[in-house]
Amino acid sequence: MDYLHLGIPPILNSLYAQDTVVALRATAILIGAWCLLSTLEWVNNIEMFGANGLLSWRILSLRPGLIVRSDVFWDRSVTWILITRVIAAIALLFVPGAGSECIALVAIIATSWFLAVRTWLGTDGSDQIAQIACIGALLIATGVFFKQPKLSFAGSLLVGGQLTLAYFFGGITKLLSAEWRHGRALVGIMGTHSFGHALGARIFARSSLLALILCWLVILCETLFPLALFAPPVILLLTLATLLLFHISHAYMMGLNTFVWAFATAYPSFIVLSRLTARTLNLH
Amino acid sequence: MSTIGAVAIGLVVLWLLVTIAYQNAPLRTKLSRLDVIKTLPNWSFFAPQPITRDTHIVVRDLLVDGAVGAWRPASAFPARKVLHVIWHPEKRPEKILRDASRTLKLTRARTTSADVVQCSLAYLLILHYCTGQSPRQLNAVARQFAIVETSGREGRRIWITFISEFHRF
Repeated sequence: MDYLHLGIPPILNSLYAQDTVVALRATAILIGAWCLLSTLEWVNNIEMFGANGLLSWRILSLRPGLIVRSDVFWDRSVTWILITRVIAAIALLFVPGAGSECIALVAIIATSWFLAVRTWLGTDGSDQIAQIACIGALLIATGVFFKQPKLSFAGSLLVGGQLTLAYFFGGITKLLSAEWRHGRALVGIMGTHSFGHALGARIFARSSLLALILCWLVILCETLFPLALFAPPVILLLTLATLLLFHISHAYMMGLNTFVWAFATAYPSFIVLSRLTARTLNLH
Repeated sequence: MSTIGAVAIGLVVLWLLVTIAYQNAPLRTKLSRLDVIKTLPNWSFFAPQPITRDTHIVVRDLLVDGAVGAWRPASAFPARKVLHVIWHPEKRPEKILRDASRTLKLTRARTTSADVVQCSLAYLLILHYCTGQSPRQLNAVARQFAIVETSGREGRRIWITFISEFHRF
């Protein structure tokens, strides 16, 4: 198999297939954990979908551009949609196998799209990266099920590629922002109640130098992330572990708990892409 | 099936290229009109303008005798807890109200017509939330809401960014 006709030797085919199966299982477990957590948080907010709730369909159905306006589809099905997501998440966590993973992933992709449309402003960046990871994992699982490495490679490329773009453009946009370059961004964010933390606000209020250093650390780590694709395995794992800690610190300081799981879903595919890149270019 | 694999790789490469284009703000506006199934992600987390203000919704009631009640909060921010590392469902309603408030401000900035603002989905969503969630005062006949932004924790600054009309219950 010659991926993209780049002259990759056939031996890589079998090595890549081994990587893919392991990465698919890891991705499926992480997606299952993210989906279960995210869905249970929606269940906790179920009153928002009621007639007097923040996401009342009486109001949100007034949106222009909706293709289907059926109350049965958008309003009364919410409970069933959430139940479907819980079942699919549990299946991903505990039922290995490409076939069952395909079915669970299709269910999660469809219901994620439903929630994105139904809740209008309710979804965030974690839902975006997780949805992409689900679509990528579906391609990988389908490729494994039908023994089609190209299809699996497309999935790894999608997830690993989008993760690279997410960090890179996250870093570049911060680099172009005076608030981030001058270290004021973290002071401002920590000063809010919605995304801040009392301890973080106190620390940054005392030391603007620390805020400046951390702002630049975030900018450099995110912007230089694409280089991790060519890094030796140890450096790659250290980079991903650092980024996972970075997301855990966001969960603690900013309350962005679902981002930890959502970004982690993309790491196995990035590792696969990195290994494939190293083999293709004869690195390390 | 091999052809399907090649087509899939081609589509993924196209998706990645369009995602790169989508990070450019002027192109994003055009591409988002075509992206009906919401496949294009915006990766500019907390940048270029980081969120440095809290958005609060406050309401007050007009009483039957013409008197006006005091402003009181209709939204709240629970203090950050260690539990939020794993469980934080409150972030969803907070985000919806914050984004709806931002959308409402943008709508008002783009039009001089009060009717356009009052018919916007963001306005209706916040109004519906304010009339449904916060208990009404005795003898109240109408309600008004305002969007208030604050920054900082100690000695915080306050901006009143939007005040609605009174709306009958």
